[in-house]
Formats: sequence, structure tokens, C-alpha cells
Amino acid sequence: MGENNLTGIYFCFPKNGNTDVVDISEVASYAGSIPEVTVTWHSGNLPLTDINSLAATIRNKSIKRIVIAGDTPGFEKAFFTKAMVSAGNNPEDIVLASFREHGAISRADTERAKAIVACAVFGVPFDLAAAPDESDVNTETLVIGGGISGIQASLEIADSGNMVYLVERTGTIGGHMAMFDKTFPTLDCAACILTPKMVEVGQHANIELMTYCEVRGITGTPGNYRVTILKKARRVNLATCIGCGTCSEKCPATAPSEFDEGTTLRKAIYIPFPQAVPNKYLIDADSCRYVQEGKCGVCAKVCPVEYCINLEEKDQEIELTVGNIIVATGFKPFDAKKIERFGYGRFPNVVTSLEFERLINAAGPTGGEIVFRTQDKKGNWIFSPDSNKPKSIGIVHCVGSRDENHNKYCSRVCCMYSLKLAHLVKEKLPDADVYEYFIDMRSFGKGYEEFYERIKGEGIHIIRGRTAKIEEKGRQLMMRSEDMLNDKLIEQNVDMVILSIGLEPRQDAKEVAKMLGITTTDEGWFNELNYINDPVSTFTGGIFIAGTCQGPKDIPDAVAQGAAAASGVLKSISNTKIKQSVKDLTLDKIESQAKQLTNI
Amino acid sequence: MEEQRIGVYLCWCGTNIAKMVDVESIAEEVGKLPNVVIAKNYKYMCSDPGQELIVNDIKEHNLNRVVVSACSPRIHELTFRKALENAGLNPYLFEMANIREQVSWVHTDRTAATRKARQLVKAAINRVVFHEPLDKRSVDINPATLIIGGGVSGLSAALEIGEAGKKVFIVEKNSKLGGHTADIDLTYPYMYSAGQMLDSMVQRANDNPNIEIFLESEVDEIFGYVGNFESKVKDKNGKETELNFGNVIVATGLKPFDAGKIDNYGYGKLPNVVTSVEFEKMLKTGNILTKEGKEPKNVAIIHCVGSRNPDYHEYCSRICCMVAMKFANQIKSALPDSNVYELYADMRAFGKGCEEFYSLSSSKNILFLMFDQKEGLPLIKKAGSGDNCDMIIEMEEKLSGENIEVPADMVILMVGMEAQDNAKDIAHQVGVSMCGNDFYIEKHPKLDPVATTTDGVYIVGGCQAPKDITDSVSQARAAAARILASIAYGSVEVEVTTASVNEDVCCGCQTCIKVCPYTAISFDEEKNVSVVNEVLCKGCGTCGSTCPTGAIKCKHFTDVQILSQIEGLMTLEEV
Amino acid sequence: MNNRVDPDFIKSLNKFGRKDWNACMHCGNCTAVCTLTDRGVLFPRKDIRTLQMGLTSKLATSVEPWMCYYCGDCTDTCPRDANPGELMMTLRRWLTAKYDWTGLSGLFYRSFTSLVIAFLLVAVAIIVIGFIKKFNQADIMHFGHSLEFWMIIGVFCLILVPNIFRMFYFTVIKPKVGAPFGSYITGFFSLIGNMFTQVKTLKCDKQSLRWFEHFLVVIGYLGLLVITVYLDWFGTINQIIIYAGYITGGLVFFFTLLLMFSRLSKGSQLTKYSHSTDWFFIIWLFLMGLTAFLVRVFIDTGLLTDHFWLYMVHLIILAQWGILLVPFGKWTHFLYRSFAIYFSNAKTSGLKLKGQL
Repeated sequence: MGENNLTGIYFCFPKNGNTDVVDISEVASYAGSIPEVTVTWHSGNLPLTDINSLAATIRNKSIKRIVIAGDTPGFEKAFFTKAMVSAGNNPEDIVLASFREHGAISRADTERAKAIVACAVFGVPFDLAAAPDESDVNTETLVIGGGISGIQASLEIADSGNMVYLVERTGTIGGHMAMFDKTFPTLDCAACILTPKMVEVGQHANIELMTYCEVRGITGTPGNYRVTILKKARRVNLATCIGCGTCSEKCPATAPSEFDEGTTLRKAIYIPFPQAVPNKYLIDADSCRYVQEGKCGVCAKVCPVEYCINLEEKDQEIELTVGNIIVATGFKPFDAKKIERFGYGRFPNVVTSLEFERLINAAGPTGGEIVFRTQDKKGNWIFSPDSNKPKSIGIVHCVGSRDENHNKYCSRVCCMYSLKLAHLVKEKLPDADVYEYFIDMRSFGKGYEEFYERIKGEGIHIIRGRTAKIEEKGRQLMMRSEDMLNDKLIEQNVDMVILSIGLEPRQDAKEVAKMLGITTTDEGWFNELNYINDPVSTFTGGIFIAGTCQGPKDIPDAVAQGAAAASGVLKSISNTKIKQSVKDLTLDKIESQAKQLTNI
Repeated sequence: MEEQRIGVYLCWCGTNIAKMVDVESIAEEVGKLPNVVIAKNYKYMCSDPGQELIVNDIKEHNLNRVVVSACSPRIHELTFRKALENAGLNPYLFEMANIREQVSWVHTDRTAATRKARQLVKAAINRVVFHEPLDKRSVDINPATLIIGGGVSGLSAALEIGEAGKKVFIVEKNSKLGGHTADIDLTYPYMYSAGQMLDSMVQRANDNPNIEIFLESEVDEIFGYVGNFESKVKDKNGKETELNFGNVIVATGLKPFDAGKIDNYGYGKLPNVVTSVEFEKMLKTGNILTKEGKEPKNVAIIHCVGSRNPDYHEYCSRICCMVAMKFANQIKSALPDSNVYELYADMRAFGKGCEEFYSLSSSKNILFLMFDQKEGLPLIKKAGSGDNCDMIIEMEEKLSGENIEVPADMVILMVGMEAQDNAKDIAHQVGVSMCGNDFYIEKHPKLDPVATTTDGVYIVGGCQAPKDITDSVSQARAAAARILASIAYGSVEVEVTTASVNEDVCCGCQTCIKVCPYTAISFDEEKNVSVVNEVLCKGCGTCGSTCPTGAIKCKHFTDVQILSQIEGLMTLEEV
Repeated sequence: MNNRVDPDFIKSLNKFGRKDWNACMHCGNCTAVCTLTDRGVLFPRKDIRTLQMGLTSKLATSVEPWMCYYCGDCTDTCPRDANPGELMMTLRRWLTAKYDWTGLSGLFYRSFTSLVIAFLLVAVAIIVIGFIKKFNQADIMHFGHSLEFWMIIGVFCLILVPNIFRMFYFTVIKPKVGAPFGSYITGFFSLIGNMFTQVKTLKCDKQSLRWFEHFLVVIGYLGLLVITVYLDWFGTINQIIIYAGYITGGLVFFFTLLLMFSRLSKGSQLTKYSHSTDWFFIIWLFLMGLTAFLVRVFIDTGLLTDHFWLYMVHLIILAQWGILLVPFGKWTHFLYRSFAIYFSNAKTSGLKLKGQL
């Protein structure tokens, strides 16, 4: 204490009129009670325009340290740095109390905000003061989500000799990556690099694969979580099914195939895709006539294995106890119907990027041939291998992303996958004209810029100026765009348009977060413990996040995060001790721990 | 030789192979060959039922050799070897013929493609006859880890492993930890304090008894193999410490591009043209001043300096767009009356919260002006005496098509990142490969971004490719995961298709030692023969092919195996 | 010097319209979504770019703001909420101020106080004249009639025509467009047509009702003008003229009332951000129609002599309208828009000749 620690605190009030924010006045009055704090300011009584007067105040009040507190106080730091230097102080004696950095975002987090300010005043890093207690840890881990991030995390942990339960909502692991054709920038085939990992997961002695299951509830504490899992009725015996396919052949009920993004139909009893793990059939209750109406039951009759199909099977609940949980639940694609002027849903040949991935995939509806989408006899839109091939294709970037009217954020992967799709179109239809309309080309990763240059050299028209609307013109589609670099208005007639749709948090992301006791951003991306140096941990002990559920990202980054989350788990297992939750720490606890650290 | 009972499986790979290769007819044909007991074709051999087919047939028909003709062995060789293991057969009694990447994907004539595929299958059948069972080999793991580089990547990895209770050595060439992050004031997009974050990490590292830090030190050559490495660490005074460790994490980072190479920007000639690194220092010290000691009224920030330009570096340095906007915001805070101009090529604000940051920055009256590097870089000139600014930047603004002049009292060059000067040396020391830009190469760009082809050596952070702190931390932890897992497991499998020297035939010429890229061969002076360290050996075969006396046998790539493969390939039969 | 960027300029536009055009990230959506953009006529993004860079001389050469009929689609679909539609409106005000050689347009846009003072001055002047004429009904009505007449000629010759020439200078001569002389001749008839029908509005999405309302107001206004000035509506006894006057006057105040309601309810994009000058314009037009209508009613019912104040009010409003709002306010759009199309077509012909289109 004493003269050397006289501190002034500036509180930044929120600017955007949001009401569910930390109660800054309450934090300010708390701060005022800390002995070292000699003055508190805020934007009302200290406008950030006059550096000289602030420097004078600093000198007059012998202030040695300044704390800037608020949601993102760093934006004002430069002003204070100048003032401190002007007052003859050390610019390093400015400490930021960033509420957002440590998860104090809404009104309920006001106590934590106070703790953040206290640590700043004491000069102690918040994460060191907010160190939760440790407890024993169960060495088994739950991974929620069997996409590439979940798969990577599971393998890393299983290879250490520890048990992993991998719970996947659908009938197979693989996630969205299994749907892709080739991946940028190396153009390796997604299924080829994914299936070995899927097989490894399926065969790993330390991974219990629980597909067609959902996590329903979590109780307990870090290191000792009791998880309730809903084992949905597959109605097909995993152990005895031989995968002959007779059931599926005879099944009369169909539904749009999720794996083919609705471009084909599958039966009610089906395998999601040929390399599914586990490679067993399952019955979709929503489309099964027996489950819905009590009729049919053909599959059970024709199945060559006795008792393999049990149409009466009911959902079951299972309880598990695990020490750590990794959430890798992935994303959902943006619904392009929301933007009417692109004509998705009205014009059959306006397709989304995911639909197009399935189309060009050799295992897709046409065996990889790019064809027009037509109507079948029942009026459904289909891709038929007999249809004609388009001679010109347009690609529109940023559909649903970078848009205040839909999603403000950038979806990160669309620029690259659009370039990839353009390349694949040229590969299959060398004489086709391909037009790509973008806003900024975000080819930022290793090998990405080189890929962009390569695509430019392939005769693809890449135009800066995002298409504004798509209209029908005879049998073609007219794309209206401004070619900004050439000062032209383009009304380009093409046969097919691909919309580069963005990524969104899954529909149930906020509920899942609530169930787990973690927080999300406004959109629904899961919040990390620290954006900069702890992107996979959360404020809840023993719960980690990985992959696109944290935010849009490409495969290499999702894999790295999956492994990083695994590291967090392995750390606790290696230590035989796990940290409890930061979110449960009280102000008193953090304060006293901070004070202890200053005495060292 | 024992009776050969070979099972041959041809994969359709959906339509990937079947479209161009008539796999059914090949299966029929090769089924008639001597020693072939079973010849089947199936849609997806890599799927569970496909593998079950192999396992069941091995048991039922007592097969002792298996050939699968499908995709590249790089993809599924391990999968099928495991299938053999599951059936109780040695996994090396297996051969794969690649009829996808080598046939169906690259040819358009179905007849010719089928003929070629058939020859490849026959070659594989011929070869597999001479395969020998090989036993797996594991080595113990020394639980200590060496981390080269004490920047934010190395530090993150060290904390992850050290706080898991395992020993870590950090070797850092500078006098303090933190690398380039130590020079940063705030981080985008939320303007958190980099210094506060780093202080916390350094304190944790210093307080952790498992983490041993060597400052102002460098690592000498590393000897050994995964789980069992050794090296010397030399500090600035020449003092040497011997270290033994099981794994290595290379976190040596990158260095800034030298802006002086670009004439147009006048770096080094015009005093108020500074680099981003220099500007970051100004921000930290609170002195945003021109060389003349005045506060700049107009600040221009030029993106892509040395990046995205085939004359310098083709690649994108990934973080500069965001850092530039960070600077713009900080300038607006420190100098509210200033004008800030961002001269950019594409705004790469792709990360979480970054597009929102871009939107916010636009609203602060920061002017974004677009140029195209290919059509000519902006030109910085000294302003005339009548102008009320220090410099004028002439550029063609692409979004309007106008040739404009931008007044500037200070210009900040967003220099790209490039490999360290000693990147090659370190690569050689640890045994990693480099790509064209002198970045280190990962084992697989998608599915194994931090491992390398050298077991036990990992690359994280900037040295693998330019990236920001968040992505570096993820990578560091990913490497930590792999290491912690291997330590927990206790041992690691090593390559078995290694070379061995027949002492009786070896003439001691040491040619093999000279050509071995893994320095896996040593010379036994007493016996005057070469000795292969089968743990270091990767089975590349270079020594075997160079040995003048044929003393070296490369397991799983013996002469008789290769010659029989060639014979199978070249022998045409009447159809 | 001409092409030196000036990021402060955008702040000075605040008085003409308050929106954040710095938010524009140049995605190209607005220009492409606009149904009125065409080869050689691209807006609003290019003008936003020029504005952001503060290239005022280039901005003054722009006719594009006049080509916009404010359907608001660009604003609705703008991913940055940069409100390009409102920029076009703001630029129309800015250009009006630019073209005006007196500088009064600019003054009135920037300073609401000055506008109010000007209104008061005119009102006071009329009342003073009334005093001088001792509020003699016949004298004053005669004065009113000739005031109308001379006001029109004076405003036209002294303000409107010179301003159109200034517009010509800025948009065609200064940027050296090089339009062939013939295009001015051939374009002349469509100029007149455009002026009186503003038919381009129809091409602008969803605007047919709005176009129709405006069209009726214009017909009413022009009709009322002819009938009061040249056919002496207040003095005549010709029944046909009297009824025609009622109809045109009624059209004016009824449809302006409708337009006022829509501006109040802020239904569509273009009514969301009304400038004070927008309100003055429409209220005064309404009052003009209403008071003219009522004056004739009073004449026909014999009430005017005892309620002469009504005519005074009408005269004040008329004077304010004719001296302030017509030459310096939104009325000028009537002319500028049509001339913009005229000059733009000339420009396009010039570019075609040079092979640049």
C-alpha cells in the first residue's frame, strides 16, 4: 500500500444501448471502496479528448497507476498511455480490467466484474487470482459430437490409454466433413482422409462409440460429471446387423437424405452413407410408417437375421460418469431461403454450396456429374444423371454472412471453398464459364493465397462485386452485380448459381450451452475462457469446446482445436487433479487469492 | 516355402474406381492365378463390412496373404493391416495395389485402364508371396520434453505439459520469454492487453518446478529418436548442459520482412516511414511522434508489405489486416483529431469477432483505400513545401478507379512474416523438412497439422506458417496433447520396415552412412562394418539401393520382393 | 490537389443528412440491386466512395443522385446498414446547394435558424406592404396577382435558369464529358417529357402508387398555378375556371396531406429520415393549396371582405413558397432530375463515341 500504489480508475460505459450488461455503477462504487483507489472517472466526467488536463490531474493527485475498466477498455488505452507519459509516469503502469476477456458480459456477471477490477488494482493477473480449487478427476471423458473435431479429440485421448465415450446424435460419425468432395487447398478427397480416422475410432479399444445418442442432462462437478444420455431407438441391432441392405431395398417410405443435403431420397431404414461408422442400418422414426402409423413392418419380415430388427424398440436412458467433457457439436448451414432476392427455393438451379458438394461428389446423386436440377413426376426437385449439363455457373460469396440483416460475422471458409468449387467445376466441365462474385477474398491460410493465384490462372472469371439479385431470364438465371474494378454493371446469364452460404450455430446451441453450464455469444457460438490464450477451455471446469461450435473455422483449425481440447483433458488426468469452475468463484475468494499473490 | 493362400480384393470405391476399371473382370481373372484362393470385389473395402469380409475370409479359408487393390496405401494401408491383425495374421503379409490414384483417376480409356490395373494387381500378388512377417517395435518414452523457442507458442506448450506434471525444457535465444508477443501492446479484436496475458504466462512458467528455462541459449544438434533424444544446450557464455528428452516441440517463430527491399515505400530513406514492429513500440511507450517530434495529423497504414507479391513472398501473412485495424483504432484513441488511412488489397477480417471489429473501425472515419499490388504499388514521396503534410502517397484507388493522393505525416508498413534466418539450420538439427517458403512442413496439412514425419518432433506456431496468438496457442496445445498421450501410454511404436546390414557382406565403404537422410547409420570401427539404428531408420531404402555389395537388406522392400513385383507388372498374358 | 483525399468532408455533410456512410465496405450490393442502374449510370456505391474520400469536385460532377427515386431497396439490403438510399437524398440536397449561385440553398440546409429567419422576414415584408396599402382588399389582391406573376419570372430568370447552367457546367463541361451536340437536340423532347411525368419513377420498384400521388400533386400544382396567375382565379367570374381551380387546389392539398401522413408514419425507407426542409416543403405546399382553395370559397360565399386575413395568410404563404422554397428548396428537384437524365444521356453518348461503353 502507500503512496506508490495510488490508483485512478476510468470506467467505460457501454455505447450500444444494450441493457443486459455489467452494472458499471455498482462496480464503480465497489472500486471506490478499495483503499489504493484514489479517484474513479467515467465518460461522463472525463471526456477522452484533453490529454493535457488528464496529465495534470494525474500529477496533482500523485496517481501512479491507472486502471481502465469496461467491456473492452483497451480501445481507450492509447489515450491514457499518452497522458501517463505526459505526466512523467511509466506507461506500463496502465492495467486493463477487460470484463469481456474474463467473461463478465451480462448483468449477472457484475460480481465477477468487481473481481476483475480488484485484480487490476492489485496488479495481479486475473487468471492467477481466479484459480479454482482442485479435486479428483475421473479418467473417463465424454466427447459430444462425432465430427472431425470430436474424432480428433477422441483419438488423442484414447491413444493415451484412457477411456472416451464419443456420443453422436446421428447414426454415424463423420459430421459435415464426410459430405465434402475435395478439400482446399490441397484438393484431397475429404472422405479419403476422414474414413481412416473414422475406422480408427470405430475399432479403438478405448473409445466407446455411442451413435444415435444425445446428451440429455448433466449434473455433478468438474472431475465427476454424471451424464444422462438418451440412447435413441435405432430399432436395428448393432451387433447382429450384417449390412445386407435387403430391408432398405424393400422399405416403401422415403425422406430427404440428410447426408446428401436433401438432393436425394433415402429410405426410412437406411445407412447414412456407405462408409458410415458404424456401418449398420437404422430406422428414422419420423419417416417410418410402422412407428408413425402402425403399418408396414416389411423390413423386419425380410431381414435374414433373426431378431435383428425390433420395431418396438424404445428410447433408453443411460447414465455415465466422466471427469471431463469436450463439446464438439459443430455448426448448421445458413438457410438461403431467408434472402429472397437470391431465388433459393424458387429457382431450382440456384443451389447452396453444400448441395453442390454432394452433386460433384462421386458418391452423390449423379455419380459426380454436374447437371441441371429438374423436376420429377411428383414435382420434387432432383438431380438426375440423365439431365443436361450446365454450360455456365455463377458463384455468389457471403450469402448470409457479413450482413447486418442476417449474420454480422464472417464465416471464414466460404472464400476458399468457393474457389475450390470453381476449380472443381472447371475440372468436370472444362468448357463451362465460371463466374465468381466476391467482396474481399479471404485466402489467408498456409497455401491459400497460392491456391487463389492458381484459380485465377484457370480462366475463371473472379469479379469483385457481390451479386445483389438473381432473376429468371428465359431458361437461364440472370445475376446482377457491379464489377467495381471495371466500373461496369453486369447482368450475367448463367445456367446455375451456387450460393456460398455461411455457417451458423446449431439450432439448439443455446440449450446445449445451458445444459452444460457454459455461455454463448449472442449468435450462439460457445464462449471460450480466454479468446487469446485459452480458446478451448470454458469458465466451467472440465468442459472444453472444440471445432465450429466455438466459431466458424476450416478443417486444420478444427483439428488443432480438437487436439488442444484433448490436451486440457489429458492435463487433468496426468495431474490426477482437475480445476473446478472459474464461474463459481466468489468475489471474496478471488479478492483474497489476489491479495495473497501480492504478498508473495 | 509354405503354401501360399492369397486372398485378393478389388474395391469399387463407389464409382471412383469402378467407373474406369472393370474390377469384376479382374477379380475373375486373377482368381484363376496359382496361389490365389479367393478373389472378390466389393464396393467399399475400407468400410466395416469390407474389412469384415477380409477378416472372415482369412479365418474361413485359412488365408496367409492378402492383396487389396483400391486407393493409395497412404490412405488405407493401416486400415487393412489392422484388419489382418484382427484376424490373427501378421499385418505385413499384406500388399496394396493402387488402382485409383494411379489408374482410374488419371486415365480415360476404360480398356487400357483395366489392363493396367490388372497388371498392378498381378504385380502385388507376385510380391506378396515374398512378404515376411515383421514384428512391431515399441520404444519407451522419456517423459521430458524439449521446447525450442520461448514465444507464446512455446510458452503455451510448456505450461500445458509442465502443469500436467511433466518435465519441460524451454530453450530461448533471447534474454526473456515471450518472443514477439512481448513487444505487443494490445491484441485484436477486443483490445485485450498482451502484456498482462504474457506476464501471467511467464509467472506461471517461472513458478512451475517442472519447467526449466534456458534464456540466451541455443540448442545444438539433436541426436536420438522418438522417446529418446539427447542434445546439448549452450548459453551465451558457452556453458553447455546436456539434456535428455522424449519429444521436441519446435516453436521458433518467424521474423518480420525487411521493408527496405521495396523501393516504392522509401523505408530507410524517408524518416517517417516505419514498420508495424516499430509502431507497436511507439504505442507501448505512448510516443506516437514523427522523427521531428510532432504528433502526426495524417497516418497512412499500408497492408501487404512483402506479402502476396511474387517479387517478395507469394503467401499471405494472415494477421496484418487485423493488426493494421488495431493500429487505426489506437491512433484514433491517442490522437482523436488525426486522419487514418488504410491502404489495403483485401480486408481479411475472418476470425471470431473480427468482421465486427472491421465494421466498428469503419464507423470511426478510418478511410479504407484499395490498391492492387500487381498493377503497381503505392508510391510514397516527400511532400512539397506548400503541402501541409510530410509525405504524399500516390496510388490508384481501385474501388473508384481514381488516381488519388493521400497525405501522410507518418506511414506504417504492415510488414509480412518470413522464416527466421537460421530456419534451415534448426530444421537440420531437429530433422524437419521445409517447404518453398522455408516454413516447416507438417505431417498432414489437414489431419495432422502439428506432427512431422519425424516421430517425436512437433512444429507449432509461426514456424509452421504465419498465424495469430489464438491459433498458435491451439497448435501448441495440440502438440502437448500428442505428447501427454504418448507419455501416458508409456511407449510409442516405431517403424519396422527398416534396413539392416549383413556384416559378412559389408565392405566398410561407408557409402550408406553418407546417403542416409536420417543419420540412422553409424560405423563400427572394430568390425569395420556399418550398423543401422533400427529405431532411427525410416525405411526409405536409400542405403539399400546405394550399397555396392548388396549387404543392406531393406525389410519389406527386399530385392526378391521388388523384382517379383516388376515381373508381375511386365508379364502380359493372352486374354 | 484535386485528387487529395479529405476524410473530413464526410462530417460536413452531416447538416444535409445524418447517416453513417463510413460503414460502407464496398460490397457492390446496392448498385446491383437498384433497378435504375444501367450501363454508364452506376450508383450509389460510387458516390459513397467519392464521398468517403472527400473528392468534392468529383462529387459535384455526379448526376447519379438525380437518377435515384429512393425506393429504398439498397438500404433494405445493405449488409452494413450504411444507408445508401439516404446518401442519395443527402447528395441531392448537397448538389442543390452546390448548383445555387446565391448560396442560400446551402445556408438553409445547414442552418435551420436562417431558414426560419428568412420565412419571418418574408412574412413581415408582406404584412408591411399590407399596412402600406392600408389592407385595401382590391389593392392587395391586385398586388398579390402581380406578385405571383413577377415572382415566377424573377425566380425563373434570376435563380432557376442560372442554376441549371451551373448544373450543366459541373456535370458536363467541367469533367470534359465530350457529349456530341446532336445528343442535346435528340434528348430535348424526352427532357420535357421527363419533367412533367417523372416517368423514371415507375421503373423504381414498388413506387407506382407514390408516382401516381406525386403526379396528381404536380398536375394540381401546375394547374393551380396557371389558373391563379394566368386565368386570375381569384378575380374571374368564369364558372369553368372557378371549378377547375377548385379541382386543382383540392388535388394539391388532398394529396399532399396523404404524402404528409406517409412521411409521419415512416413506413418506407425514404420517409424514415426526414430533414426539416422536407417538412417545410410539404407543409407549405399543403397550406398553399388549402389557403388558395379557402380564399376562393370565401370569395364565392362572400366572406372574404370580413375575413381578409385569410387572403393575407395565403399571400404570405405564397410569397414564402415562391421566394424561398421554390428556388432554394426541394422544388428544384423537379427540374434537376429531368436535366440530370438529359445530361446523363448526353454523357453516355459521349462515352459511347469514345468507345468507353
